[in-house]
Amino acid sequence: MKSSSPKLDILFLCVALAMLFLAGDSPVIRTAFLSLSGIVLEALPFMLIGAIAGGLIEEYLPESAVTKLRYAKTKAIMIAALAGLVLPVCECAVIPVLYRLLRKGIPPEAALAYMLAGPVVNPVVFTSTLVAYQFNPVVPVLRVIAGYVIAVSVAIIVSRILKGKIVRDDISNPSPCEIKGNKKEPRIIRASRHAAEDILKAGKYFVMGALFAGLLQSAFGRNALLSIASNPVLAIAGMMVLAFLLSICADGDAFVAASFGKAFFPLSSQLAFMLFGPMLDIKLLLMYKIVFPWKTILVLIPCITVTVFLASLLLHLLIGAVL
Amino acid sequence: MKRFRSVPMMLAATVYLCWFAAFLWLLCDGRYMMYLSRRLWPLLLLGCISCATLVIGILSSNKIATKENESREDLLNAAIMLIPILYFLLYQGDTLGSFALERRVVSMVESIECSDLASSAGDTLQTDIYILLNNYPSVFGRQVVLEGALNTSSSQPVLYRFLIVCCLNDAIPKAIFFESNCIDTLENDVWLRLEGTVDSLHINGIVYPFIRNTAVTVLPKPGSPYMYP
Repeated sequence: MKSSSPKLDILFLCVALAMLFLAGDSPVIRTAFLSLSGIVLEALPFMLIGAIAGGLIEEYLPESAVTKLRYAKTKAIMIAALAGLVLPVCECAVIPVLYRLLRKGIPPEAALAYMLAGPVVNPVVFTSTLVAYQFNPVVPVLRVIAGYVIAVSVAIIVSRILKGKIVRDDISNPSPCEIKGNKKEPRIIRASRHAAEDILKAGKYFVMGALFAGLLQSAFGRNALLSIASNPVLAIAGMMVLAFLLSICADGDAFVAASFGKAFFPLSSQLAFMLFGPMLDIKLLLMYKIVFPWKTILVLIPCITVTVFLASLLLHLLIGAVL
Repeated sequence: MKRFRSVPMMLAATVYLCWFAAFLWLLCDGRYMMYLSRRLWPLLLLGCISCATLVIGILSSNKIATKENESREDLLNAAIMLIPILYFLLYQGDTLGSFALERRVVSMVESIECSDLASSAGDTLQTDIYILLNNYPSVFGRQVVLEGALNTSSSQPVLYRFLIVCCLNDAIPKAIFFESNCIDTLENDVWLRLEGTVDSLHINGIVYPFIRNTAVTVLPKPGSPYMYP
């Protein structure tokens, strides 16, 4: 994994430490760090498991097995978007697994579809959404179907725009010495070393993203959105912005969406919040850098934004009155 | 055989060792409930096992040393990964308070859509705000005991607590209006026990849950101030 500029890392480290030691009494800073600790404690174990799974993939999954999975592009995308049903991981754990799968030669567009759909189209998120909406099955069913359609559409659009050049060069063409490693060591040791290296690099982006999310959550009052709640177009857009800023895990975001209340915010805007957040937020934006070049990220951002917005608006127009 | 472990790998081992200790400390002490849902303790166990696996893997590895600039980058990565642990150590009793409440609420107290509420009878009910709000019609008119923190930023004082679904980042404030004449001298976030009758309050045609005829007792801040579904 390539790293970001060390100067930026040093700057981030200095600012974070200054906030911790010098501005620790500020309610903004303390609330931000409380959010950061919640995010990290919840997601880091998943990331560790994801990285260990990635290490095992690197060492034990033969490339021939990946080659067998190479279906036609669209078919691969449609199948990969359903992989969350059997591999239900949250959006943070998906990145280390994807990194190693991509190095093994899994089609990038299929990986993209899994990355986008996995955190939404999975049984854990379905159940938590069901509980958050007091066992009304309409909301989780709509969330899963819309999430699948959006992920497949975005993956197809992005692969068409970028003509297959989706992932970083160092992943699609890893250097031979990087692949071979130290062959004298047992495979299991090499697998754990891959995992250790991956987490050390991915963890940095994760902590940075979590702190930014915590700061924005502290700086931004949710009741500011009340003024736009009556207009469905603005409500959908506002809730998408909020999902981006808050960086809430897909497993718990339904409870936050439900707290906005049907009386204030249309259900379509709450769905927009639950569809957009697991695909794009501050923490993910930084973590995407691990597998994608900036060019791909710059194409992904508008594609996800426009597709989620249009899907939510369509849901509002089709079934808004019923919901 | 003499083993040569690279600087990045030793830094990684240090980071995972620190996280192993942090997970174990938070789990054994029960302190994780200040950041995570009560039922998510297996996550920390999973974190401990994963970190231990990685440390063992690194210590058994014999990867040769890498370039100096790689080591520098890894030192930075390791330092950034340790920031949350530094926070756990420095601010151990920190909890979400009125500042977070005002940032996270859409409206201070959630309105109710009930009509024709009938008073229910029974002994005094010791409950929490989340359960009370979820079962409002069935406890209407009943004497209840509630604990929570005070916030006086709206026209009517509220008692609030945060509900942690997964982690603190998604914690949602749950609040209820109450009446009292003896809270003027109290500051926001003081922990209170209220004993009063569940009633409703009408503000601009909207109905809110309300605790009437309230007896207030000031309490020390509890070890576990959050609610869990």
